Amino acid sequence: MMLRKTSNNTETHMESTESVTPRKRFSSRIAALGAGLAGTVFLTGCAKNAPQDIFQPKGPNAKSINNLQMLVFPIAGVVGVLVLALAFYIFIKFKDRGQPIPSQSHGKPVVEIVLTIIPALILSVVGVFTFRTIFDLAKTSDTQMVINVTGQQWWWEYDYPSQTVDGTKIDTPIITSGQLVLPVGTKVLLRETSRDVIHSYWIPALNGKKDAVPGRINLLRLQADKPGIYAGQCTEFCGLSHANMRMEAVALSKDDFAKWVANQQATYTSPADGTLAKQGEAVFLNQCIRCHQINGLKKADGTPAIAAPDENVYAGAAPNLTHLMSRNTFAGAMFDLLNAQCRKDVWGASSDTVGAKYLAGVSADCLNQTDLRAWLRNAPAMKPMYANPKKLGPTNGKYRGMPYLALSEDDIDKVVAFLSTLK
Amino acid sequence: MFTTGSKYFFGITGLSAVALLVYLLFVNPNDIGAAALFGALAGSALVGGLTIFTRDHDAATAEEAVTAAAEPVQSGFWPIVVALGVGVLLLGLVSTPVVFVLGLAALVVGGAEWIIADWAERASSDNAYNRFVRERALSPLEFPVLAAVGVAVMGYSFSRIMLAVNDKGAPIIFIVVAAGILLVGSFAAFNPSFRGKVLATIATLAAVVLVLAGITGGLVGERKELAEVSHNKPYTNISHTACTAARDPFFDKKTNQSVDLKSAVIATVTVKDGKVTAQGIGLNQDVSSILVPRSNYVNIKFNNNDSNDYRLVANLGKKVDANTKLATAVQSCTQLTSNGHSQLLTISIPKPSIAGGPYTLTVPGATGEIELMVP
Repeated sequence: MMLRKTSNNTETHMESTESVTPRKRFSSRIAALGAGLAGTVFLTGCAKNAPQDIFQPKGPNAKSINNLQMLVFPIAGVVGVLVLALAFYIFIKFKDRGQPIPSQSHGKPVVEIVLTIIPALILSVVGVFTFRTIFDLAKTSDTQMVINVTGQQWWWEYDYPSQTVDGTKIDTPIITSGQLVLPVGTKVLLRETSRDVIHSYWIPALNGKKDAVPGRINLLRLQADKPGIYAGQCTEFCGLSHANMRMEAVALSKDDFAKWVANQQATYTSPADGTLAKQGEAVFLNQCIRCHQINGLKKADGTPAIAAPDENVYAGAAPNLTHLMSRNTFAGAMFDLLNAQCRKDVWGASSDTVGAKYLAGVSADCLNQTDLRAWLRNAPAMKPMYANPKKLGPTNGKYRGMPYLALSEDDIDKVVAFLSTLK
Repeated sequence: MFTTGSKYFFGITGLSAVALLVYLLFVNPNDIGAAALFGALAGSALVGGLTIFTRDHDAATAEEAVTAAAEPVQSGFWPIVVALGVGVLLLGLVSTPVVFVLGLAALVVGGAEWIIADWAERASSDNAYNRFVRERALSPLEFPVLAAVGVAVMGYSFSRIMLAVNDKGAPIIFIVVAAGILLVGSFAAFNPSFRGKVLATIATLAAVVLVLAGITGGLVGERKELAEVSHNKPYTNISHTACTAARDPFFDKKTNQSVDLKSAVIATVTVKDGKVTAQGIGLNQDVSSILVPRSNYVNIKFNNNDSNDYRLVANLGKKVDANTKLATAVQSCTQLTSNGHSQLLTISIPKPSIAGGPYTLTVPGATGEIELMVP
């Protein structure tokens, strides 16, 4: 701080301290805050546990996108920094300090032409690579496998049509939810649609995002290079629990995929008489069957038990639980069926061992009973849903999400025991 | 200043409000009773307001506002309308609701007119002023209501004519009538002398002709194909009788209209050389089954590459009538499609195949069947 020497030197110094220092301190704080934010943003790029990192592609489609963004981001970054720096320079240099207005002239043809040609050239280069990538990603003529993907508030359903995939024959359709299982190295085509509102399917490690729109079939191809579990999330705001609408793609080796298919096509086996699970089956038939289908489950009279979600759920469907314990998650992949230790074991497995660990399913020791019981006890308390029975007027009494079922603790024990058998 | 007339109507308004409140709280807020009480409330408030506006507003004092009535002007016909309304209303109670509503309308209109006319005749000792008061009170109601009734009668008459004439004559009538209105209107716009009584006479004659023609059209009834459709009701929300190889005279009209949808179909079904094949989108190979997500509308495209006409039929199980216990086939189908054309079939199946299956896609007259699987 520069102080002028005056006859009352001390007074002047005090005035300067009071009027200038706080401003400078404020500026310093703003600068420190900006540096802190910038540093935080910068350091987030170093995160190791970032399953939805768009810079870690695990398949050819995602690699195409990554190659494009590795070209576009530096160009956009340089252009952005230059433009902002120039703007700041102009703001400061030509700040109104009471100086006279400079002489006004119209046009500098050389500058204008240069400033037009340079962006045009940059956009042309970016455009060529972008369009090429878009057309590459849209290619479906060499599809080797198709899966129907249906979005619904707030979970994903996967239906596997009858087909032969790398020698593995899917005789009867497979239906599952939460986790998409696909064979490694296979060009898988997802046929996306939605039952209620627009959702968007995105597994960053395997491809870009694609909207799931009611009444339309949108195509998205996935292909994984190595076995592993790849996380994703709905990326189109779709209502109350949009943030909780997650999904995972599980890539298995071809042998492991064949085993998974065989398990999914296995017929339902009712628990042995007299067991807690058998009692749980009865509770399920009394309560859960109103929405959740288990293929092969029969009523007491021997007729097939048919769920009626179309009568109770606004969008007309609820997750099929036939082989629930072959999945690792439930409730729209929001909660783990595996406890923390077992989950860490599966997610941390190498590409050589992840298949076997995943196919082991959810054993009794690994079951995350805490979350499953809490879900059965009061699902709306676990996940925001439109499940208040007094506020269902707009949907004619139908729920969006799982309602509170008022199950007793005994019933919860029985249902958990029963669900544990759905391997 | 409130006089006897306005106090009376505002009293009715208050009573109606109390009754409405009681009805809403203790009876039923959603049925026609609440609407009727609200109508009474609104009507009496309106008339009360009009009373103040037309009479009290001009009155300097309360005494002046209730001056002695003039001699009766003429006999009115509103009591007859009221009596007729009561009769028709009672008739409606034992016959049909339409008659009841008509009687109620006559009763309300006749009563309101009678009350206002009676009140206006006593407004002052000057008959001219009393007529003025009456018109001031009722004209804002009479003109819109009469206009609405007139438009409704003419619209209804015109609709009867259009339903009676055949589909080739209807456009001609439309063109002729519209051209006539345009011509007369243009002539009147450019010739002021043409307006007035001449124009009123033409309009009256046209209205009479229209109403007479409408009555005639109503007596003749709807043209043949419309009558058959409305009486036979072949198209319900469950199925219709047209899902066969035969050409349906109504459902299969304009069958050469074609679709070319590529991005929102889940599968394509093709008939060629009398055989049915299907392809699921993406796989580019023939399939014997198509997987359809449960409770979700999907589009299936039907291509006819055969020289004969065919339609695609989705057989979606059976529905048992709760009363008769009779099972009827649930079907959905495209129009009869000619060679080289395509149609779209949109379906949604709420139950899995194990519940109502097997669901199938067939083409009557051709061989082959595609299974529709719902997991």
